[in-house]
Amino acid sequence: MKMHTSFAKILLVLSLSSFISASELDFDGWLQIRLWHSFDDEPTPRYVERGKITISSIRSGAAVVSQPGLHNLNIDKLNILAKHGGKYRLKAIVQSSSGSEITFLTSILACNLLGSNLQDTLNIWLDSSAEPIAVNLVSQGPCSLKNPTAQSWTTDVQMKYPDGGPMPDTATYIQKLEREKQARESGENKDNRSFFAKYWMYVIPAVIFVVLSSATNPEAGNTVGSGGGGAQRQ
Amino acid sequence: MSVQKLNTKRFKWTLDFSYKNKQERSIELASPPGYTHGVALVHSTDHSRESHSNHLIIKKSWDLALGPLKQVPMNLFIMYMAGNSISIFPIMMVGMLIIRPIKALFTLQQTFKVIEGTHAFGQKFVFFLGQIVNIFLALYKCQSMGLLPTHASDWLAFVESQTRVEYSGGGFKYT
Amino acid sequence: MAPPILTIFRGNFNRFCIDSQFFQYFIVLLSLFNLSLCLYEDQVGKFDWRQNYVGKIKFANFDNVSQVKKIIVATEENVIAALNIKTGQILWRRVLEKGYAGRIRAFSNVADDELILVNGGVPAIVRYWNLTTGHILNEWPIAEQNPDRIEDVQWHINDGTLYHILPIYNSGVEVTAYDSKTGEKLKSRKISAPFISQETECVLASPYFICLKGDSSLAILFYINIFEPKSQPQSITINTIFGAGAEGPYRISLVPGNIAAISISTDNNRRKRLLLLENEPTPVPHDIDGENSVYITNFDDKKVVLELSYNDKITTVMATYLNENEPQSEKLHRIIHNDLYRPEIVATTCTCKSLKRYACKFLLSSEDHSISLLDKKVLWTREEALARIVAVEIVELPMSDRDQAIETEFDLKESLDVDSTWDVFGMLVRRLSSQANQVKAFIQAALGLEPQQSNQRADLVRDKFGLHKMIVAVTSAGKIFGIESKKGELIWQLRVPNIQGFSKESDQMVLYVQRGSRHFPHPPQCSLLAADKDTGSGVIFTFNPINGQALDGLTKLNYRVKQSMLLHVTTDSFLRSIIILDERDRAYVYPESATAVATSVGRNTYIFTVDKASGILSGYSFSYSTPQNLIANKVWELVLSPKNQRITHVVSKDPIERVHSQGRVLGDRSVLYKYINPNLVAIVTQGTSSVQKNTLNLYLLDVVSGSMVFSIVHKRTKGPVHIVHSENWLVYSYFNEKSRRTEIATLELYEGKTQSNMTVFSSLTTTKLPIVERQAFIFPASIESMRETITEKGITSKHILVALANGGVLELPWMLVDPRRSINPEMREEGVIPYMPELPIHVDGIINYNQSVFRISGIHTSPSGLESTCLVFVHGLDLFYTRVAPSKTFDVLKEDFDYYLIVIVLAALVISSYITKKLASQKLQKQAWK
Repeated sequence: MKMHTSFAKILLVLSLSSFISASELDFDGWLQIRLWHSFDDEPTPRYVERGKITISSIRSGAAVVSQPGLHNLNIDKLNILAKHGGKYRLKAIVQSSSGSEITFLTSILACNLLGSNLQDTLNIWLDSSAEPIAVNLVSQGPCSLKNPTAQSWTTDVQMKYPDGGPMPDTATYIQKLEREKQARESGENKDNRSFFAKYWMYVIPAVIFVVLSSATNPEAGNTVGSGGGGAQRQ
Repeated sequence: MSVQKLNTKRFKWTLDFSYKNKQERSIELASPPGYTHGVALVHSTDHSRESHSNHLIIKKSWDLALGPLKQVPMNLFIMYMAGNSISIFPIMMVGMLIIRPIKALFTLQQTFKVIEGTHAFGQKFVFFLGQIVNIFLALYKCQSMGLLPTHASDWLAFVESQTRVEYSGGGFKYT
Repeated sequence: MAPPILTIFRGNFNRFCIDSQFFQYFIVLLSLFNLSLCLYEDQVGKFDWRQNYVGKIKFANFDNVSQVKKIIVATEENVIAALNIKTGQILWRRVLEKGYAGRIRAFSNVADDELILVNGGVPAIVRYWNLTTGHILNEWPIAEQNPDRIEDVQWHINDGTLYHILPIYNSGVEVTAYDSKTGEKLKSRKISAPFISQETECVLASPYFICLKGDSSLAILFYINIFEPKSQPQSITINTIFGAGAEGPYRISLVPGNIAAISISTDNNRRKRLLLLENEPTPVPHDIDGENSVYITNFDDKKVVLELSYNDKITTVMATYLNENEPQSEKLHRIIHNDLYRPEIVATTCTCKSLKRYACKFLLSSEDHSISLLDKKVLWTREEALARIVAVEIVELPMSDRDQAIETEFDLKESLDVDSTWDVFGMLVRRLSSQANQVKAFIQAALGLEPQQSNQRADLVRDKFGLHKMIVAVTSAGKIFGIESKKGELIWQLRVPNIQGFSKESDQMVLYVQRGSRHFPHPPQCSLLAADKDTGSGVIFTFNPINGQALDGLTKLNYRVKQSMLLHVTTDSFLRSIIILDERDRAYVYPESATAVATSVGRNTYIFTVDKASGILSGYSFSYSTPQNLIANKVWELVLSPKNQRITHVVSKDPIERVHSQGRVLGDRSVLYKYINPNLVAIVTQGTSSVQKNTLNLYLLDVVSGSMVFSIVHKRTKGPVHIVHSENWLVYSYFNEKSRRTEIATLELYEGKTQSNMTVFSSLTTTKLPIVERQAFIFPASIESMRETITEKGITSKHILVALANGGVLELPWMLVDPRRSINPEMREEGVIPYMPELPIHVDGIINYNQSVFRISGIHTSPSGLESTCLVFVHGLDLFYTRVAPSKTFDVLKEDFDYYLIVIVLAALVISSYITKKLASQKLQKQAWK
């Protein structure tokens, strides 16, 4: 049993965003995020420092996360918070390459954090000019009140960019119209096969059927009528 | 059976246009002159009624038992012709394909009432099997037509809407 | 044998048909046919009504010159109209440009059936109208030299000459004359008047330009005749007007009328005096109450000051003759009329009846924006406040008295002690007695003896299908109207004194339906949340939406309201309380008695605020509430920095909306589950920085967890943005600058092929981001407003009502803007129309056919009792009400349904089957005997 984990345990998570629509992002820059959190079960909480995240390039989304481990005292506080259905609050002070400093506040259910064993994802949303607009803490959960086995945070940092808006797809539509027009023109040429050549797959089974049924006609009463109804009649 | 009995009572070349009751009329149209249903039967009974009757009953009852299985190729053919689209005629056909074997299964005891002997159980079993095969065929057809509610989408109408846990309100600051 | 073969061949044929794609086209054709909705000629006006308004009067004039006597009005809504003098009906109406570009600045006197009007800003447009037809005869722009000083420019129209008067600080007045009909610049002149500065308060009372300088007792009025080339500035002290003892601050204003005069108010607007400016400024030594409105005119050769006072529903018109040495006052009228409320005279016309007797008509504009014509008594009143509705609710009507009697019967049953009187006999007696009462009431009604039991009107009761409702409309003037939905009749009106919208620019007021009319004997209750005119702090006014009676009266809150919301739970008396957040983030519950109920659900209740100025969005939870106090604590905050973007819209879903279908069936028969998050809010921002100037951003935010769900950016686009947010989709329109056209984009959100939680939706535990489908379409018209239809259970498909700039309201099926409309035929799903980039505007889809409605500010939709039908109330300058059935009226029989025929056929079939049965048995019997 570790009595104290107060020594800084540096955790490095390098996360590469799954998809980056770099075309919408005209700029590149860096972000520096200082995280402050609170385990208080009160309306106005007291924040203590949690760690620091440095994103050297917004475009690549590479992040260096340095967070000390969680003190046992704090884990107990988190447990109490979870028991009361309270929320773990996180304040993120983001410094961007454009020189602005913005404070964001986000919160999640404390029990979700326990359930996921102190594993969380920090989603950083940027606007089209690469300024941060929201920092969301997300934890998959499930909601649980058990003591976590881990004593340090496992934080995944994800950058989110705005998608490009849809545009009326006139080009494809015109192409489609032209293709249809062509198909119609060529269809007129192609369709001069004989009736039989076109519909032989329908005609032949029909003929076979007629032949078959006429051949089995004397027995027809037996083959068809020997179901339930036919049997009853006898 | 009753038809045959009546026919044997009649003269071979008579044609009776006046029907005595409506039951008879409803069962079958009058046979053409000179034709009697039981002609083969009559011949056989004439010649060796006693000796062959047992054999004939067995043969006849095997015919009966194998009937459903013989129907399978025919049903397959009907199914092929009906296509997989959903419209009134294919639906009617598939309906018939399902309902007939089920009806037959319900009247199994009645059908085999007349049949006795050592093969009775086997015959019943074969008949039963044949009908089951037919039902399966029909179900297969339903499946390929997409009539069986086997997909999540078939139960979508019964999915209750999610109840909300949290309630929220707000908007622009008024002042 | 025969039938199976036949069916096989038919099946075969069928298959053949289907394979040749005929069927697919047929389906498409059928669905398109289904979409076309229209009205038959005999249905015109049967389900809909329209009312036209002109707005609050800015300028008015009696037109006695032309053959048809009428009143010409120009209004704050940028409308010029002619009103019938006898009835107040609109003879013609012209709607000018919207907002600033159409603001009416000057209005000439009526002469020769013609009128000159100046409107707009930079450039100002001078229009020259024919008054009989309302047609423009000529129009020309004035190129403005000083665009930033446009608000200081004064206009004067005299004898076909338009004067553009621009005061220049510390220098003088620049007067430019134009020929008002042709636009020809006649002359320009600068008159030295160095007294004009930024501090002076100036008015133009032709021919004088008067400025007030200083606000102490030493205040001086400077004036100059601007039409005299060699005129010198002159001055007059305030003391010469009021004598000694008057105290500032003083205010000057132009007195309406056809004689140049100004009024100077003193002692904090407690009293005022007039200064006549005809030849030489002459003060009128007559004190006028500061509250009273004045109008100056001449009866024949006598100058008369008309003074209007309003005191407790009594309006008095006083006339003071100025020509005599000693001004004499005479009381002209004393009217007690409900429609008048602090009126002002905006125009008069007098005819000489006999010597010294004049018959005058006064056009009065009340403070609640209504217009009345006074001719001894009030001839007519137009409720022009309805031209600016700020909040609407459609409320169900209560049950009829008879139904209520039945309801009370069951109500009693509930309240009784179960084990003591729950016996069969007692129940039977009660039932019999109540039915006897009903029979009695019925007989009384049949004989016409029924006494009027309640004060409500007999026709204002709930109908079978819940189609007849009460529209409660709150106007910016603080007047509330109850409009019956069948014919559009104004049932009641309420003036809430001294209130205004929360902010100056938007007139926003909030109307909540706290209790519907389904909870007899509790009366239905609506409450209006607004701001106090004097202090700016909040006020709540509760009233009964059916009869317009105040319930709890006006409650003044001693704090400024930041946000409010209606709680989803009710108290024991079925009242939904209002949660109010004040500027210091303290939460309050109205009524206070419901605090316990509110705090009990505080854990799951959230409120969010959006600050336009700072771009800060904050979410608050009430989870730390104590049973006595509702406490809000901030749980999330994010910043849409105003450096980069300006928030223009925050759109949440309609809280009463229900979604019936939880998913969408795909081509392979799997289900794509919808992402239906009731806490999802769409935020639209417009780029502000130089690089991002023409970008439009849309963010989807979960306001409970504060987590962003999706964001999208449209480049090279601009507003106006109109947005509809419903179910799992969004539809929004914007202007594409690149292609110079209006476009509609749609987003649709899906959870995926599996649903994370089948039974409940919690924003706090749903962490997966939705799949977003998107598509854009070209819309070949300009859009004024958009709204989705809503029905009771959400089974009926949704349509989008699009108010077009040309006055039409288009019903656009959502199916047409479905983002899953694929251009690729292989990827297409069942029932989805192939993609076409341009949305068609079918004339059949215009729900208001030729009843054009202009300047639409909003569309309110409400479910009716019928699942198929949605009630639509369009408001703006005009009001329009109708009902729409997006999936056709599948739950009612057609109007032309032949009940008799079906009854006759059924009866005939039953009878004939009995007869044939009899006959058949007889025949059988006969045959058996043969």
